[in-house]
Amino acid sequence: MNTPEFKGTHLWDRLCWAKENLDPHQSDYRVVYEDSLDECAKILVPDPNWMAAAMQGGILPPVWVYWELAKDEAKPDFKKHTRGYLLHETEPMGPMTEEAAIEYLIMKDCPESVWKTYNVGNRPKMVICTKQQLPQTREWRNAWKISEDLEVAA
Amino acid sequence: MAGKIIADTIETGAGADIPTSYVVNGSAKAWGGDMTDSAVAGDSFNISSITDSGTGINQPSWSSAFNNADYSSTTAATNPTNTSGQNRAACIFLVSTSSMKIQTFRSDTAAASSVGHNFVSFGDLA
Repeated sequence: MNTPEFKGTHLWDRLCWAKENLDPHQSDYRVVYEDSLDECAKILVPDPNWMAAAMQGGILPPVWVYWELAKDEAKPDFKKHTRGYLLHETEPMGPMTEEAAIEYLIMKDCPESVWKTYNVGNRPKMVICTKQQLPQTREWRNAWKISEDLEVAA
Repeated sequence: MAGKIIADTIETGAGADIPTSYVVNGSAKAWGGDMTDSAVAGDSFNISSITDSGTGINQPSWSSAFNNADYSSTTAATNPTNTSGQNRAACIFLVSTSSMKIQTFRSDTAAASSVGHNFVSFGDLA
C-alpha cells in the first residue's frame, strides 16, 4: 500500500492513517542503556505500530524535529510548545529498514547523554540486542546492569 | 462502502451546533492496552517506544508530542487473565510533553512485577 502524499498534514492524523492501514511490526530488537549510575539498566522496546509507520515511510518527521522540541522544553521558562508545526510541516522521512528505524528511535527516545557518547568511557552505556539475549525472567530486575565484559564499539 | 464526510459542525438532536474540532480534540491522543512489565503493549496508539525502567516501571514515549506537560492521563493496573488480579494499583509520574512514567504495584507485596497496565492520555497536541 502506498502512503498518501501527506503535505502539512498533522502528524497525529498521519498516525491515524498508519494505525488504520498498516500491520504492526513487533521488532525483536531491544536497546539496553544506562543513564544513571544509581539506577538499573533500562530497556527500550519499539512500539509495533510505530515500527510499521517507520518502515512504511512518508509518515514520521525527521528525528531532528524532536530534538528541537526537546531543546524548547528544556528552557526554564517553557510553558508550551510554539514550534509544533515542525512535526507536521517538515517533509516526512522515507521508508526505513528495521535497523535504521531502531537507530532513529534511539536518537528520539534515549537520553542524548547516552547515545551521543555511547562509545566513550571505559564501560558500555548502551547496547542493541535482541529480545532473546535479555534475561528470560525478571528476577532481580532492579539490579540489572550492562555487562562490563562487553567491548565498547569504536 | 468507502466514503468521506467533510463537516465543520455537527448538529445535536437538540439543535445545538458543535464544531467537529471539538469532537476531535476531545478524543484520546495516546493510549496503550495490556502493557506488560517488560514493556510490550497489547495494542497502542501514538507511542514510539515503551521503556522498561525497572520493576513495575514503564515509560511510553509519544510519537506526536503534547503541547504542554499538563495533559490528563489515567492508568490502571491490570491482569486480564488472573482471577485474583484485583489487588493492583498504578500511578503516573515524571510527565513531559514527550513521555511519562507509569509504576504499578501489588497491594499485598512490596514488589510490582508481573503486573500489567492500561493508560489513556487526553490533551492538546503540539
